[in-house]
Amino acid sequence: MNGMSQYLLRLYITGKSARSERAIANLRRLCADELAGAYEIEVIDILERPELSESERILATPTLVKALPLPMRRVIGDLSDTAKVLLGLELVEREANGSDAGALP
Amino acid sequence: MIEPQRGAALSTAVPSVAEGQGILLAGADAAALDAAAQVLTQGGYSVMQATNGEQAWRLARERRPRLVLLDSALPEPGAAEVLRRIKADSDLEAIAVLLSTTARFGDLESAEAFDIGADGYIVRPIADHHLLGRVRAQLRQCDLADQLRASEARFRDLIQGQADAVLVVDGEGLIRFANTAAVRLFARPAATLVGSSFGHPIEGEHHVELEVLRAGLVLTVEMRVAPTSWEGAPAWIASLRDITERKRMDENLAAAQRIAHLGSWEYEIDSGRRYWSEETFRIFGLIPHSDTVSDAEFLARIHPDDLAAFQATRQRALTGKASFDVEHRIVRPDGEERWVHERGELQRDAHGRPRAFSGTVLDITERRELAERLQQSQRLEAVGQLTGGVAHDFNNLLTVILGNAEILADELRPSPQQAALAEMIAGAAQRGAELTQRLLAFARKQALDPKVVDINQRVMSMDGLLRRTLGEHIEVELVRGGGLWQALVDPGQLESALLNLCINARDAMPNGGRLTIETGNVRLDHDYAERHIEVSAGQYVLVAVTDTGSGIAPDDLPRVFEPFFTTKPMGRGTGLGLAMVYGFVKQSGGHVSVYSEPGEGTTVKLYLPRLPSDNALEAAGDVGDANTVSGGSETILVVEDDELVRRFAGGQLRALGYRVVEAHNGQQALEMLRAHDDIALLFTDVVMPGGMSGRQLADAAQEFRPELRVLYTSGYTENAIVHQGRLDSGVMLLPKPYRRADLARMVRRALNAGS
Repeated sequence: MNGMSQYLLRLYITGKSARSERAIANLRRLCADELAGAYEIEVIDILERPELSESERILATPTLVKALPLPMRRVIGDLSDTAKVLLGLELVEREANGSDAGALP
Repeated sequence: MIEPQRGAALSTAVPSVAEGQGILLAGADAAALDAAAQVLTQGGYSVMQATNGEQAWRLARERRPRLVLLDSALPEPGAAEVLRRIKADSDLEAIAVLLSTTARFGDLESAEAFDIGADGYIVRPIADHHLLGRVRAQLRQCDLADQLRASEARFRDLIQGQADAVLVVDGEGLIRFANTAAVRLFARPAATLVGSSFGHPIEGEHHVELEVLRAGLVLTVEMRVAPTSWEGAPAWIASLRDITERKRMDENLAAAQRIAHLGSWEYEIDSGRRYWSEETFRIFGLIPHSDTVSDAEFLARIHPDDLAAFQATRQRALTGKASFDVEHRIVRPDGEERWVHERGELQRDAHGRPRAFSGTVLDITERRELAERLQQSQRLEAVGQLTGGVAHDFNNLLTVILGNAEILADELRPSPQQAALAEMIAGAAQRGAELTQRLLAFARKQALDPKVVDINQRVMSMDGLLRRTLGEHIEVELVRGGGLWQALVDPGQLESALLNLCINARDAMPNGGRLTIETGNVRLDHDYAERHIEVSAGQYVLVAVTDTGSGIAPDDLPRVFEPFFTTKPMGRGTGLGLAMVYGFVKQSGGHVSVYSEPGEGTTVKLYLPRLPSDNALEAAGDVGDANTVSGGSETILVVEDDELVRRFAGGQLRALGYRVVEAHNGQQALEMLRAHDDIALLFTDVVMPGGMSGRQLADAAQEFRPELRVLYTSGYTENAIVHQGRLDSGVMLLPKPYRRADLARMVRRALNAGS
């Protein structure tokens, strides 16, 4: 991991299915769009490395784990919705409840 | 008032108190217990009493009172211990415990009692009506707690009974609850699941598909997410459904459709929407982009010439008057035309009104192409049989005309004017014989004499002839393939075929052009062989003749091999050139194909069978001088059912000095062979009526006359003499019609063969 990488993201997939390919593509797009080069992606196929999925207690895939920076966070499911993924990984500030943000003026 | 009353009798449980109904009074002071019991009994409650800790614990466990009034001064064990035991036992969670204490009593701090789980306390002394009121209030609270517990139990039963795995995931992504289906899905106990990290569940537009790895099997799971709250904090309920089986069936169905080129569709009548399977998209040359396609989008793909008929058929089917079963063309986005076969069925709603139209679409392009080729090939075969039969009879007639004309010409030599007439007859008959030869070639009934041929050498040797035939306005190019295999064909017929092709090319290029003859080695694979009639996969020597002429119209293309089919002006073509080429190549075990672009030119490809590498057949060599006529004095048996031909042949042979006996069928011939032991040669027609072919006759004769020489003659030769279009080794054949010189030469050769 080079000194530039601020984010370490691990994507757990199962085999080389179309769904896996989609998840990888979504993640790459998200990182390119939002993390400005300061990231590292590890893709882990749990069919190839079952011991990792066991030690990390990966229950289902695709699971995306933000290993760095701490705190560690994970999301599971559809990675196509960038906003939801960023929110799930706590890569953006959660908006306070009752905020008027987004309401029409 | 509950006052300790010393000396009161130790009272055990009040009889006949239903479980979960009564009140248990526990205290060291029996008199005080009695007094309190009296108040509560009068208040309508069933009461049990215990004067020490063990007894209180036993009653609590066995009788399950609703409420326990625990005196803080209870001995053996103390009130704190009894309270702890009751609260630690989940079976007794419905029991409420009130601690009865005095303000000055200090061995059990009320705070500690609440820590252990006391539901409340009363301070003695207490007025009777206060005691009753306090007990009533506590029991009401018990009822509420019961209802809550029952409601939670119902909720839990509902969740537990779900076939879908249900997880409650908190804001940190940790699992807080997992139902039994979740335990089954993940094959982990609830205790392990709860507290482990699942992750923040993110749903797609509708739902999302996940994989779960369980015992080496990859399951497909559909997840739906709903927000909820858990212990006051926001959380999610994620329900996961195992759709592995459904996915597998979907995939099987899609695979079956793909393999069969059979797509399925549904057309919703009201909305005009069409639902297409993936294979339907593929058949239409589209990438599966969504579940639905508009009807306009679909109709735009139908071939314009077929659209009106398609819509009429569909309209009739939509009214329920006719079934929907239609074949039509479609045009893919890249312009490719395909043939499809659609079948559909009307679907009605509960009121019997047409709701939708569903059915299948089958890509039948290959099947149609094959059927067309088969039809074409069958037509050629039928014409071939007819042609073969007619040509056979013509040959017999021409043999007589030609032979007699030649005799006349000889005999009329002193009178040149009459001799010229006889020679004209002979010449015309000779041309007629050449035409019938082509007909026989087309009918695959000519006697072929395949030889090992170096095609490059053959083509080179024809160069001069071709240039003379084609004329100066046509440029000739020969492209000879390197390392060319040797072919096994009749070299004379090959030359005729190439000459025919060049004449066609010349006629297609009246204003000049370029003719290219290419040779090369090719392998036709099984795929190609399957798509073409009468083609075997294997190795071939290719000869391709290409012109830059007018080309062949697509409508004419399927018929070019038919005899008498010609696009040349009246009187220019016989319509037998390509027919001869076709018959010759097919009979040789090869294959012909024609490619043509109108206005651009035509390529005819001859695929000639490659010589098997271990074949040691002699190379083609020229036979002896055809003009030498030599006779003999041996006895020859002429067997021929046609009297004219028999008499002609007999006359010719006698003229050559031979002795001749004649028979008109096989039986008669056998009798003569037995009667005349001087017969040296059997000269027999191959095809004769009377149940015995020339071959059978020869076989029968050679049984008792093994030294007998045999010469066959035939207009065409059946399998009896020509095996797969080739002469059986050792068999000699004189094809009809024949000239006197041919007859003389072949008879001499046959007679000399044994000596």
